[in-house]
Amino acid sequence: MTLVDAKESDAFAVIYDRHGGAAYSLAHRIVGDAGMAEDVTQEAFLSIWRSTARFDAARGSVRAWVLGIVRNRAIDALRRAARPAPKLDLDDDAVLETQPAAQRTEAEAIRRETAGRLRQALGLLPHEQSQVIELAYFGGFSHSEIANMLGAPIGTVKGRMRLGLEKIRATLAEGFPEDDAPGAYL
Amino acid sequence: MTEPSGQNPTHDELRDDLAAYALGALEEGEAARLRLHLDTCEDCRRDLRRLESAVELLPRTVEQLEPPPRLRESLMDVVRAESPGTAPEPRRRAVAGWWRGLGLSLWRPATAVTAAAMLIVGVVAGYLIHEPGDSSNSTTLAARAAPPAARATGVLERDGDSGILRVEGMPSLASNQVYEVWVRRDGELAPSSLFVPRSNHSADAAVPEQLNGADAVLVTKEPRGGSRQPTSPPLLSVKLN
Repeated sequence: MTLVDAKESDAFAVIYDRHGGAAYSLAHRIVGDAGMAEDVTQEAFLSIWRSTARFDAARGSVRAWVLGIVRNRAIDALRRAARPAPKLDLDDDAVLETQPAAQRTEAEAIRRETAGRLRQALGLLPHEQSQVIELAYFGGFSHSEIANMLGAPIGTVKGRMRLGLEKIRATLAEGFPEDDAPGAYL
Repeated sequence: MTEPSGQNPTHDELRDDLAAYALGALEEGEAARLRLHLDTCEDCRRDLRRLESAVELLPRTVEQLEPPPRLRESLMDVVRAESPGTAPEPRRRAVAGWWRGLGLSLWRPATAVTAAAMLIVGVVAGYLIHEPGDSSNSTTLAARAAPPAARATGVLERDGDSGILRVEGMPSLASNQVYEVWVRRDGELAPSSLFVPRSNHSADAAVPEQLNGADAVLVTKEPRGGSRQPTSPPLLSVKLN
């Protein structure tokens, strides 16, 4: 991420253009509000621009790095707003219907189609596994909070998380190409 | 799942935490404990990488939405303003006019009134929230507000030479305005970051690598893109020492 390190605004624009849509979508999924999602995305990208934290190519793709920052910011925003995650299931069709029609690039169209297929496949996970993953990742709840919420032992929650993630990896990871390879520039 | 054994968890207990860690669902103390273990356990590092590859798929399951075009415009405004190529003046420079007098001797009447009012109306005087003797290098300092932003509050979370200014209750901006953060050192003002509050009038602004030797952080309302010198009186100030 040397161009951003050198404070090149053009490089930043490339990163935003490449990952801004996914970032905003993730923020919207977590906070459930367009204005708040916009704030979160702005905060996240500005923190990338200003941060002394650096992208470590050895630890994964740029997209994963960016989305990790967005996710953390969105969860922080949810906690500040002191409200629960808006949705606990994997069906985002309602969210889609609220969006104004917009022109989509081919890349966006592919991303949307991939998202639909991934979501459908995730829907095949046992509900108790997808539920804990949803609550943790999109809801920002800790394993102990989830255990309280569900009235289940913490060990059970941890076990469901692991089983769910292992199934996701086993059944999904090989079928979907990376949208940017680990270590890819920008 | 392995039952936890208390203060000294076993390898299997720590391994059981990996999925929750990958999902960001461990409490900070648990996460710190696990990170220590990961430093020395290749098996767990390998296991974590597998789990993280699944977690990285989760954002891709989200319905892809189009961000509003103004988001890009707003971001690029800030980025261009902060880009070195667009800031030819050095960070530390003399500031002419009434600003130079803030806290110094060159008061002009209007400024003196504004600044005096700022001192009186200030929400709270800058103070150290952390206990004296706190061994960390982080401190939190309260901001004081001037009359035009009397309902504004804020804190500067300082960490060594850098900080994050968190503000609430900031007055609304016109579409062609931004807030600009300034760092004052020996009577000289250096521009720092720009920010636009969220819809709830709060904002977090970075103050990167400028605070050593500085005596105050101030916020003014400026034209979009920021200014090289303040063009309006300070609305918030944080005294650093």
